[in-house]
Amino acid sequence: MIRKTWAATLLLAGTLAFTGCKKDEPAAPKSLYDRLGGVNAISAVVDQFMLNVAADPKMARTFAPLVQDVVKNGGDPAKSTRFQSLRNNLIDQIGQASGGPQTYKGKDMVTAHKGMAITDDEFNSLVNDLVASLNKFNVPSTEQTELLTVLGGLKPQIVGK
Amino acid sequence: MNVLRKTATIAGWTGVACLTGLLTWANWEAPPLHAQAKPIGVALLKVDGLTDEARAAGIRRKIDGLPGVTACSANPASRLLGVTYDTDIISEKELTAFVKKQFNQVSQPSVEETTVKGPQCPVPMEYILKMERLKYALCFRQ
Repeated sequence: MIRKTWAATLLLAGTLAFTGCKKDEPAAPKSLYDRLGGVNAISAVVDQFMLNVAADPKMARTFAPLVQDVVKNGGDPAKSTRFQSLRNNLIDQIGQASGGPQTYKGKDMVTAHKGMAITDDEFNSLVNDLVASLNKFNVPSTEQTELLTVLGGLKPQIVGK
Repeated sequence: MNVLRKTATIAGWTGVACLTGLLTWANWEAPPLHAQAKPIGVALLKVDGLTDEARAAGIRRKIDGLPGVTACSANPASRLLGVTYDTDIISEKELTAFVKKQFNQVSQPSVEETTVKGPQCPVPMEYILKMERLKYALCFRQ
């Protein structure tokens, strides 16, 4: 009985000693999603971005159906379905692209833009509108660059389809 | 009496099966990120007095300060003013009235017909969004 008690005590002491020697590992770097501010920050940026695009005369050709949808339905969230649907997809896509927990389940970029014949100028205007919305919320330039690099990689799937 | 009891039993088990099926469908996968973002109202107005960047910046500042407004964009090139807002706090009528106090000529934008249609979904989007809302309401995997 005494031997068992000693054995248990030694085992416990040894465990504590070895784990106490363990070096603290550095904390894992925060994902871009966390650094941007999570879903609330992303949805605010998306709202601003969509308004910038809707008001941009260079995007009038491609976003006319969306503007029509809003004007016709008075902006009611239950009725302006094209606007809400695009908003939802953008939130999911930016969330995934920045390392967020959920995944984007909408159409792939080629299918989503098929037949729209998006030009380089229109794509660049879109990027400028996104940068303006990121600047409005004072997103740091490091995070902006990371996000634009990821989203800019989609250009070949969007332009000229 | 027996018939009634049997009917009630069948109806009861059918209800349980339907509820189980609904809950399984709703919880099969975690909801997407946008399920955590509240739906917003959106207003687009044509403002003839929005002639330069200074006026655009001024109206943006004022509208951004209104309670319930989540985003505002004013573009003097297109004379368009866009606002997204929380429909529980402010309405489109209140926003339009506020903008009319700042500018005289405010109207709905006229949208030209466009050849760009993009991919068309055969299922009406209202149906899809309603089913999504039902799914997220029954989902416990938040």
